[in-house]
Amino acid sequence: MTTDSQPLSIGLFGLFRSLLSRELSVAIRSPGQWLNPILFFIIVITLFPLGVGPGPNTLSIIAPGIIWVSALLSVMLSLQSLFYDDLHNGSLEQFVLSAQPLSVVVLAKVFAWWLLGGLPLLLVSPLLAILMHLPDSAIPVLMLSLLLGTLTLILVGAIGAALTATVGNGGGILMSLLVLPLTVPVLIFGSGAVQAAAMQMPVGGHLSLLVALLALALSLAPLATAAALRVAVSAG
Amino acid sequence: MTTDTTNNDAGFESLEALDITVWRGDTLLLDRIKLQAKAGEVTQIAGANGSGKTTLLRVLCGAALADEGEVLWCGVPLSKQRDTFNERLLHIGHRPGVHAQLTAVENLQLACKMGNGVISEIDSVLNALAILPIADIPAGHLSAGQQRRVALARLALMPHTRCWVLDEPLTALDQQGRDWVANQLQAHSERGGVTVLTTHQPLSKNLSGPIYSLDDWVDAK
Repeated sequence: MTTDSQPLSIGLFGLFRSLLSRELSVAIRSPGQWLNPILFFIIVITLFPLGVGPGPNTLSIIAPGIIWVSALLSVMLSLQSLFYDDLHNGSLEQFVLSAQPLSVVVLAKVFAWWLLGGLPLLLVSPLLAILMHLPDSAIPVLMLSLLLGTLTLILVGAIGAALTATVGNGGGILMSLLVLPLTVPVLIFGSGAVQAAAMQMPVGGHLSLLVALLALALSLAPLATAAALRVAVSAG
Repeated sequence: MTTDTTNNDAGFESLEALDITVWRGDTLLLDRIKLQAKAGEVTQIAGANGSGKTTLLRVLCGAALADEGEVLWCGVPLSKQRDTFNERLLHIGHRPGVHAQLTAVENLQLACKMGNGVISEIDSVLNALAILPIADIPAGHLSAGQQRRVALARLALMPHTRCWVLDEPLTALDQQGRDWVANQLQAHSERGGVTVLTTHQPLSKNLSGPIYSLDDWVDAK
């Protein structure tokens, strides 16, 4: 077996990188998919000062919750199409029938999705925090909690997206119903951390729990998603 | 990952279906199908539209599960040697696995990385298939026949695979494309590979092998 006629396996990290660059190339050519969630996030939050009134006191009290709920919904709304294309063009079948672990495929897709649908939320959040009169001291905590939280949300949401991949049009709502109970802890500790930071209280506890949730999701969600995708493919 | 089946000599491999039964809702789609695809032969599955050819192929390669019955690769059930079998399998399904937003080259590079294909050969294979000039256009903009060619390029890029399961490989191809596929099938058979395919077009005379008709099963019911 010479390396000439049969190249050796590129390794899991190499595979992860190739899959990641594939996902990013696809996303760059269909910008609607990842522009929608970030626009949704910005629009929802900018509507609140208009609807509730621009009083700094009210806004700064509700700001952590508003920003976090918007982030949660924006991630969930975009995720429903995570596996749609690959299921319908047969790529997913190829992934399932390859000798490479399906959970690596899932991780690559999830990470690409986070880069396009999670990271931008993180980056615009300071501006929106100022708009919502959130104290400056709470902004680093907001960004950190969004970093940990959006990754967890996307990992958990991927399970729902895989379970409902074959459902078609109603899949989005079904997915949200399935996954929302699992995302509630992230919302509670995420917005809790920001609230605590705004009130100059220690945030270590909230953030540690967010890290724990991320570790749990990172280790279990790709396996669960891969299992759900096998079912989706075998259902045809 | 590797089991005792890895050391099988070429020429003794086989894909076998034992009493495959598949229900679609209340309808019996496949009723106790038996078939054996041997090394060096091109096993053809014939049948009218809707007779269950695609379903049977999906069961044979492990993409779908049969309600009853078993698929054996070299005498061992697929469920017991998933990874071993997947390393040797090349499946081109009803949905060809070509992403519309990616170019032919990008699609094939990923396919090669997933399946240990020969990445350095991509250009020459695309050239042989007469799609090299359009290899940088997203596959969604290509014609049905050209997309089929992109999917079929994997046949030439993964000569190490031992078991080919092809669903209608000749659909949408012109004469030149069909000849190219026939050559690949012949080369694969000469290497001692197993081929199972469905087609409505006549295959080249050089390719020998049994033809199983699903219509016969329907008649027997």
